[in-house]
Amino acid sequence: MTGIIFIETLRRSWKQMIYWGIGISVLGIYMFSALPSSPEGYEDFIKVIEEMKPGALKLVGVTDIASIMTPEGFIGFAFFGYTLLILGVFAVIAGLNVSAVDEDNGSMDVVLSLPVPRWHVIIEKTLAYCVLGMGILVMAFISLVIGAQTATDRINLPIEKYLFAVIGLAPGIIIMICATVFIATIMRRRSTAAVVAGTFVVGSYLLNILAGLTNAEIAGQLRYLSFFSYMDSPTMLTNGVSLVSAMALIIISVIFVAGAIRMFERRDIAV
Amino acid sequence: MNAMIQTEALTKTYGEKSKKPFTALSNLDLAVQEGEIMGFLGPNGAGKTTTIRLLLDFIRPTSGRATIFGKDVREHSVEIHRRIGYLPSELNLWKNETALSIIRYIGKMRGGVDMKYVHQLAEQLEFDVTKRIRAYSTGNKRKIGLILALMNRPDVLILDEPTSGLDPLMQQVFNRMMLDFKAEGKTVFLSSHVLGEVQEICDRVSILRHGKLETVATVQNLTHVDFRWITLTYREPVRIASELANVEGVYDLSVNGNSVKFRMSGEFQPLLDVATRQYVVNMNIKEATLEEAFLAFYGDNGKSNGKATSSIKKSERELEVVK
Repeated sequence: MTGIIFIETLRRSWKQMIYWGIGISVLGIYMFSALPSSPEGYEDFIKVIEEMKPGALKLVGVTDIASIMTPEGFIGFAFFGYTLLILGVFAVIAGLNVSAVDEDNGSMDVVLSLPVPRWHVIIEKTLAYCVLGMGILVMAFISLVIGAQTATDRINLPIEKYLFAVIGLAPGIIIMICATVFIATIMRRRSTAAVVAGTFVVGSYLLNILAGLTNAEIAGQLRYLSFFSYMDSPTMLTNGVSLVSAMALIIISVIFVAGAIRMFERRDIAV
Repeated sequence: MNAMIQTEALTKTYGEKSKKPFTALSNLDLAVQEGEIMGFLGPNGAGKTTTIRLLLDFIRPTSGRATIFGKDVREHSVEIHRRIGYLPSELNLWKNETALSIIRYIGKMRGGVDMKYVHQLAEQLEFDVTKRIRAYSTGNKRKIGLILALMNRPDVLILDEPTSGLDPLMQQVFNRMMLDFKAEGKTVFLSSHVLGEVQEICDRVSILRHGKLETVATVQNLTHVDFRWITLTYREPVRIASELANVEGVYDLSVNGNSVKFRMSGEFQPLLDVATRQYVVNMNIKEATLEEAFLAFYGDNGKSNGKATSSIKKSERELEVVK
């Protein structure tokens, strides 16, 4: 019996993964085509950036102007800076599919009437959606490699750089899925859980950005409540991934799943 | 005989911590014996589905306990679920999947499925397993639910409103399937709010009302209190209303032009003798719902109705009143 829910979830949702992967890949390839072709080509881009107030730059996620004036900085800012937020939508949908959707439409009754413990449902479905999330990242990586091949005159990074940067996004997706799973087991109803999980993702993003705008120490510290602050995805291509941060996010994700299992085991299944 | 399903003071209160807690089920003591078909009857909102969800460990009791095969439903839910078949009152399956893919999935979860037997069940129910769930009518959704409940050859079937949505012919097929199942020494616990739908197959029925068990009785005893609504349509305006009203077992008679409508219990012959004194164009007989029969039996406050008919009173004495 072990793994049946996992495999079935993959079977039913692999198309979702493909669609998301295509969307992210198109974005990745487009960013390479938008890369300026010469140092002079950055002039217009630099002008736009320089005309922006530092506060406004921080609002779009730029903390260091010089960092985005290079090809890898540009790709890091334009692709990695936003991909995680976009994939937040996938993560929330996936997290809701673990329990809330089936519970809301009544099909959870069918599953739980079978000889399967409740924790199996949570674990296997969460794992399946995490795997699908990784599948999207694999497609994103392939698109970056293809994009880089079309722009070898402008950017020439070793493939490992792209690989590590893409891998660096994985803990972010995983924590968003697991947090949504946890929220869904508390809220039960899909719509309520979607609102709360969406607020968690967008709120984390905004907290990270807004806290960076202030010089006040306490407010600055608050950004560490946001999981985005541990990712620093715009600089992943240039600075690589912090293993400590990645591990911390994975551990928090495991705690979320453990909490979800505890909640789901103890409470009534919604009608 | 062993009790396959047993509840002891099983109680479920929703919103215990809220200002308005609602007790859906109160101190239910019930035993379903091995090899019997027990109907679990009650009007909508009586607590039937709550009881079934407690038995399946979907919801947790506020107090009391339930056992199936002598095992606690909370502690041994996985073990118990391996040996039971379940049909929910509203079966919601994954709409984009075909019935066959769902059967295979559920079958794998149960450790394998005999596809020959599945096709045999589908044939009996005249069900096409190749379509997507969203393409099925309500009746067909009940059929796939029945196949899913029966396909692992369970020892106990727990069915919540199994016949709702089935046409009369399919109800007959369902009845045969249940009697075959019982003939193998297996147990069925099924809920319904229409007595007529289950009285043909049930050995005993238990009646739930406002979350409390009112009665456990054999079907023979309970059908004495059953009545029907009869509408007679005459070719000409009704002239024999007073004679009809005096027939034994006729109550609540009302006349509307060429039609006369009344409630009836007991035998038909005395009625037919009187009713045919005028030319009858049409005769419509409608089974009373359980709620109607129950209200006639107990009155609205759940206590025995002082205005109940003599036959109803007689039946009341025959019933095994549990509480």
